[in-house]
Amino acid sequence: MRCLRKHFSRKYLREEVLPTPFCPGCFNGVVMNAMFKAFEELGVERLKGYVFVSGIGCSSWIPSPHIKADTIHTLHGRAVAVATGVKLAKPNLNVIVIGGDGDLAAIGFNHLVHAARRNMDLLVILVNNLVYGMTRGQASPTTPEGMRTVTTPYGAYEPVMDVAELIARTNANYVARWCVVNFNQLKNSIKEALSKYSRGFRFIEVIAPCITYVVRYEGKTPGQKIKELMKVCRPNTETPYGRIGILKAEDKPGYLDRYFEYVKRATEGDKGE
Amino acid sequence: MSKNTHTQVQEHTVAIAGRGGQGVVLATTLLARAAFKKGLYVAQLQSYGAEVRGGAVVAYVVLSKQPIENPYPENYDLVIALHEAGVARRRNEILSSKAIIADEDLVKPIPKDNVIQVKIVKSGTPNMVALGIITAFIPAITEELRKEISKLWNAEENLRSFDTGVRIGFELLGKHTKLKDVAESLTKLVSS
Amino acid sequence: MRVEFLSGNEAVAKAALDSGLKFYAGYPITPSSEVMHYLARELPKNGGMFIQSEDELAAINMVVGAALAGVKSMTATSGPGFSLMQEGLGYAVMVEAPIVVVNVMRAGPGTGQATKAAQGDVMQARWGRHGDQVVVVLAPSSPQEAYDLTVKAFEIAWGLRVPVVVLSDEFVGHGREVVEMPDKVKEPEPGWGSEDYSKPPFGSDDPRKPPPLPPLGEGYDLLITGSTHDEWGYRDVHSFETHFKLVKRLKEKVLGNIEKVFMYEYFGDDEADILIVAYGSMSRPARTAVRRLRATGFSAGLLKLKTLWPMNYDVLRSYVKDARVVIVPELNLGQVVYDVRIVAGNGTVVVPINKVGGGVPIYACEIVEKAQKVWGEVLEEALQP
Ligand code: SF4
Ligand SMILES: [Mg+2]
Repeated sequence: MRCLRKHFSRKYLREEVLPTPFCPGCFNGVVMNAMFKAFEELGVERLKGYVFVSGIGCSSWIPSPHIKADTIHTLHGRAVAVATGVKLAKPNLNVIVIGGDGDLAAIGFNHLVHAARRNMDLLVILVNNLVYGMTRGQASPTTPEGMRTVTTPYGAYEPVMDVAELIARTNANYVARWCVVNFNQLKNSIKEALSKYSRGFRFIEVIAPCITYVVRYEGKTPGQKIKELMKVCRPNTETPYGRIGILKAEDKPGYLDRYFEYVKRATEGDKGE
Repeated sequence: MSKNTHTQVQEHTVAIAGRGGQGVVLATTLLARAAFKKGLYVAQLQSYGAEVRGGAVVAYVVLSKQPIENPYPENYDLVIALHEAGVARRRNEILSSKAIIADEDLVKPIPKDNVIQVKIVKSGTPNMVALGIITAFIPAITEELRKEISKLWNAEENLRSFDTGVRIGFELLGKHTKLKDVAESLTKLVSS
Repeated sequence: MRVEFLSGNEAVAKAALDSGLKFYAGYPITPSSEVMHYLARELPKNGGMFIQSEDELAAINMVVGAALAGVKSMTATSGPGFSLMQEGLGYAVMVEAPIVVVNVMRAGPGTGQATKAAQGDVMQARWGRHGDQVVVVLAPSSPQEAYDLTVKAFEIAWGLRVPVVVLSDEFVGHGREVVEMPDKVKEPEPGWGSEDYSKPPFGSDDPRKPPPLPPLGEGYDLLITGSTHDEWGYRDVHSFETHFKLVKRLKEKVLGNIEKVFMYEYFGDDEADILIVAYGSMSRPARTAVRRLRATGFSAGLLKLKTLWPMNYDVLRSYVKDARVVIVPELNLGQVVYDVRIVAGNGTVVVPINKVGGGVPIYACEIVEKAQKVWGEVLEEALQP
């Protein structure tokens, strides 16, 4: 009889829905793994009290249906808005948003940037795969210039959006960018964003180029791409994907802290004129 | 046969027509609130462009002893016209009304025998003078109205203008017999 | 009993608070903003959450999130904002989020006339989303009804886990009238009071009895998705059976409760010759018109629809069938008149009265004149050899 120890991450998964629908070798698995490792190291046994909210796109399937917790799979782009509603309605819940570059940086960017401005008490993980993977590889706001995709057949000509830098310029508390090859740093960032920095808006961008489309568009094999990423994406350096590392780590009062201050004013005699 | 009876509905409407900034909506709101406190059913509506300062404004109050059936009367019992713009906005409704007291400077002459043109805007704060004139037609709400006006930030000046309006209103009632009918029907509302 | 002098918008806000509202998200827009202004003052003092969102897309999605978390939530908007909210409304239908959306109608399309009343969003409220779905649409005619129907909206939304649209208009929203309110409103209960969370949260044997949604954070490991899903929430975006069963159930849970959801009032003669079908603000001049017609010897009646969707066509037919002339006054170019045409037989003349823009109502005298004119024509025709 083979006697295999159950992989630690299985306690966080709805096993009945496995395997995941991701393409073989997709980096979504790495992000998922880093997150689970973070939970494991934080001593979280059961994800009760955590709510995972996602929109539409490959990475939105990381939580829904796979994570064994309350999961809300929303419309394309609206995850941050729904998550805001959940958090404000039940402030004691831990609300985590996972989404892609199309979901959070294109159609949902308005919600993202305003949640960041508000320092809304959410953790948002943006899995930047550089294209729209689920809908077959169209260019996204983060597609590198020159890349030939189905919607930029002659080479992408729109400048790239640096999402993490933009969010770092808001009032958000915590902003980091890692590549999937920086596994430990990514895991530690997630840990940090759930413990040391547990309030306000926390944003982690993960460079996770789509294995199926980006790698093919670049004419590489997955192995070659991973090697390249390991070489290029060194912590605390400028890379073609932007600065890698922790861009910002503060512990200012979050939205709820400020709201409850406001409530205090309202209930302690401020007439509100 | 009918299961509902033909109930008699007695609804009376007082309107103020003017221009943004003249306080027309505020005046009708105060009137409605005072009448409500005197136990009447009231509906206060207005037509104005909130996004355009200085645009036309027509606001009115429907008064009744019973719940208001229809707050969209096709004409009014009494209209105080403070500016031509407001008159233009609801020309048909205003011109078919029972009695019209119009400002003689800011409203073009209306050659109809139920129209009386006097100095309103130049007599004080326009909306308060208008309220005062209206109050002469329903004296029973005077005290409630003064209470409402006292809550405003420039109460003193407003009350002065209001009293001026009341005086103008009574003078007009004394001079023009055709206003009597309107005054009678309005007065009856709170004379119980 | 509390008696206050309130605008329709204030009455909506008060009714929501009385129904247990604890979350409001909204974006300023004329002529609905007073709902928001009122709640901005009151919610923080009453243990509630108020947030001015970045746009209407955010507002409705925040409201959905809060509702899924088990909190009474609402948003209010008008024309352009309501258009933006269609996406979120459809999502709310799919995840069965009990939300209340107030649309204070103004003249459209586009920016239209922001401060002017209209009734042009009836069809949009019913059908504005893609896909098959049913929401409930209620139309208050006065500040009093704005209060009463908002209370009702929360009751239905939570009872059936369905979005309810309160379709007010600028006249109702900005008009101030005397409103009588009970001292206390019974807080609406999820699933008409059933608290059995052991059942699958997205399906039941009897589609008319939706199971209550267990609250988030209590360890139920809820799987909520706007994609097609089975009764436990597992996504199934391929099979015919799962999709068909789901959308049919979502429809049947509302239509199967039409007795509870469909509200109307009738005033006038039994089996009236001249019937006026009206709703919202314009049902009020319609009532005056009926009274005047009856006073001059006509047999007339008013069917006032408080629920605009789902339409109870049986009720509508039962009134329309006896009438020779049906007048449908609307502050639009003709929307509810189509419902009347659906049920009207050959012997019934259906006449719309349409007027919109400028904040001008349809006056009682216009309805009376039209009724008399059409009645005359009908008689003349009947007398023709
Ligand atoms: S399309 Fe790309 S991002 Fe999506 S699952 Fe496949 S590899 Fe992953
Ligand atoms: Mg992407």
